[in-house]
Amino acid sequence: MEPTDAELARQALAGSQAAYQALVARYASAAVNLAARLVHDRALAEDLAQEAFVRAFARLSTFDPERRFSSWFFQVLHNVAVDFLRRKRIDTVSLDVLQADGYPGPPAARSSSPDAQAEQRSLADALAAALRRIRPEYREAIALKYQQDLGIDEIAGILGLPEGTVKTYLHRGRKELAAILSAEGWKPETGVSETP
Amino acid sequence: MTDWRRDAEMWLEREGQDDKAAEVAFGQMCAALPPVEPSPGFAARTAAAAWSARARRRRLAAAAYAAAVASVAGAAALVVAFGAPGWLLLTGARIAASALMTLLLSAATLAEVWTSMAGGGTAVARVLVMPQGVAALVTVELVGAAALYALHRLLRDDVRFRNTGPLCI
Repeated sequence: MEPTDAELARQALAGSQAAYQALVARYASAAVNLAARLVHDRALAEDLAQEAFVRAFARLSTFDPERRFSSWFFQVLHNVAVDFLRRKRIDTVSLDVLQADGYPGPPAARSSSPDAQAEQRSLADALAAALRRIRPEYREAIALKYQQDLGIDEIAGILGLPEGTVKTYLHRGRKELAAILSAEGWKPETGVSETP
Repeated sequence: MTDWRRDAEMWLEREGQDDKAAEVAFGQMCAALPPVEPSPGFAARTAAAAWSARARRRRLAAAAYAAAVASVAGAAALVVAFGAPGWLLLTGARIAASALMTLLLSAATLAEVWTSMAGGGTAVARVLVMPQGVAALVTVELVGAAALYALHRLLRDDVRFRNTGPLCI
């Protein structure tokens, strides 16, 4: 039976590096993904995620096992990312800058055919570019909600905001993304049927 | 058309029409977004970095503790070896007394200035509150306004007189 996050955290506090490594492995993908949505640079995202795990370990004694480790850890990651963004003044960039940077986009593809892969990659790039153009607060709320699948209350706890504000951020962020992608021609001219 | 594309188009189509359906479609599209995977060995590197940071913190704490203990022990050893350094205490007391005097003098000056300003303000207020004072002030203002008006008239007449050209007798 897999040990719980709280058990791994307790073992790590007791001095087990292997336990902490297991805990890191459990949340590495989520952490790098979330950081990547915020800074749009894979290497930088890994650095931020690593910094967050190191900082989390230093404060592991403050982790309340009654809480979800993911919520607590994402709060640490949020603080690390905010510190970084404040230092580097990274905010939003125009699509032109993004395209000039040659952002490679996510590497994996779910579909197998080359055409489907190309289409998926194209859409993923367009969404990543659109995410870069909205406010960082909206971006982070969207990443936490739709990629990490967290509840509004958890997101509010992580971002230190009232739940109503989080809902507003999600709504406005989604609207802005839709407006950007529609302006770029991703919106179909005719209605879309629900059945494939 | 791929599922992902269809989800995206459905979301864009419903945005602004059916908020709930748009949210569901957006969620489906995001769930299918290809993840950015960490590089191989990320977990091991990170755990090792956390351990190194902890070792560094412990070394620093130990060094700070040792320095504090050494300082206290050194001072105690000096006192024991040479007795209480009287000159040091005297100098310290002299500097402290001087600083205290300067501080008190500054505070007294500040209080004096403040009192004078308050006195001036009170006097003005007292005059303004009295009906005679108000009447006097209004009179002075009216006289001033009348003087200005008279000066204006005089200047205007003077300009008009100059612009009439050479006097023809």
